[in-house]
Amino acid sequence: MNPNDLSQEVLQEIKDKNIKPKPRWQFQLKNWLIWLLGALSLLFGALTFTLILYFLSGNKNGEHLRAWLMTAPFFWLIIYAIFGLLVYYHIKRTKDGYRYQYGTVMLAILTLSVLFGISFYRAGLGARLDDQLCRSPWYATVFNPRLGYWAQPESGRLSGLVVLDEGNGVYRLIDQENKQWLISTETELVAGQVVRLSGLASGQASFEVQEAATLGPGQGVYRQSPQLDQLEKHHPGLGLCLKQCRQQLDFDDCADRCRELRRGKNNRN
Amino acid sequence: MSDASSQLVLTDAQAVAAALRQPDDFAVIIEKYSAPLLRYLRRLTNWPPEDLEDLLQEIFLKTYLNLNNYDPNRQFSSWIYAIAHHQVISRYRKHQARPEGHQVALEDVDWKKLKNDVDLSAELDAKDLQIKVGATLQSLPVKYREVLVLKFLEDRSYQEISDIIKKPLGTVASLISRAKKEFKKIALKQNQKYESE
Repeated sequence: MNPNDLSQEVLQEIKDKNIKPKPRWQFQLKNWLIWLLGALSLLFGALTFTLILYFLSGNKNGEHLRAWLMTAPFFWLIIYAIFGLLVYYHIKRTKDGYRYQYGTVMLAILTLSVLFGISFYRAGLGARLDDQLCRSPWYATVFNPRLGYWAQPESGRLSGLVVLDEGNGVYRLIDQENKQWLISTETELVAGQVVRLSGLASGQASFEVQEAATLGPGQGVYRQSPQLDQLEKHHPGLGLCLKQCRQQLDFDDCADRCRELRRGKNNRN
Repeated sequence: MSDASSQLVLTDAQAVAAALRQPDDFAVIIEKYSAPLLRYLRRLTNWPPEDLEDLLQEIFLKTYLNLNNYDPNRQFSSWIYAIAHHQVISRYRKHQARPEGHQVALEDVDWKKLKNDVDLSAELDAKDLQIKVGATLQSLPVKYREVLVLKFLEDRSYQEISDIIKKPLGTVASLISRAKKEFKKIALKQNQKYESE
């Protein structure tokens, strides 16, 4: 085909169909949006890594491999991988994205998300995110199956909210299903504390504790209305105060203030 | 188009700027690139000439539509070849199977160059070499055929190939290496076939 004929045909079609070059801002906006989506995916990936760290911090070094596997945050690991792939996808779609090798891009994503994730974790964001997630109905089944692991009294594992110190190392505790337990332990516990216990169920509602520790991730599940109502019954003011704390982002700070207030009130009495 | 003699000295970036101001000046780009692009498409595909002309028209329309996306700091030829690459790939995807009956078009200088670059001189019979090399190229998957065409027939650098097929430099290098091996394997198979016939 003669180049002149071709150019005549193309120019004619441009005129006939009134084709105009797309404005420059459209390309710039598209590129900017791709970077923005990539940055957001990286941010969510880093937040997911923060949660993974927070969930792993709930396991203790001495625990068996089985316990680690049972409580590993598989759901969050999958979400983290998905966000990582989303960042990769968006970077590859930027103007110069094709120039970067797969390994280089993935290494950069991994490094940045881990660095941001560790910073967020150190800033206490893991606990705050977990507290917000506890309000979801899927928390115990999807987000944090470790709660189920710590709710098997027949296997020697129990967790719940301490509502009353009965004296002589006996405490009243409310579990996930609002069942009351009497537990005996040598560890000193305080009302309002959410604990996880290992030991032996010595009756239908009694538990001999061998080891007690504060429950890490998932504390928010035990700070729902039924449990806090019980706490309020035994410690007027404390349950109500903690209920108000649920509206705040940093529960732990607020809970400490509640306990301080409660302690002050008791001392005055 | 204002003055034909002044258009000859326009750089690609200037031609793009002119076409953005005055659509008729887009003719400068069409006239400069229609022959090389058509040759590239003929080397790359075995589609009939009328299909290639339609495709070429589509490529220029797409180029015109996206003129504002051209970065003057980059080579215009790589940019327009990238559009051609994209159109060819989408057409392959659309039609899935390759159209039949038309051999990949190789000129005399092409097949000799390709044969030497892939180091086949000793293994192939001198008889019907041009047909053998053309048939081999046609049998290659498009991803291999494309890098061989760009590297050995279009004389493109690795960076230019990377900008055209939108793959990292390392990937381009390994694609070329694999394409050469595959080309050699198929060429030897084709040679045996010719010998037995």
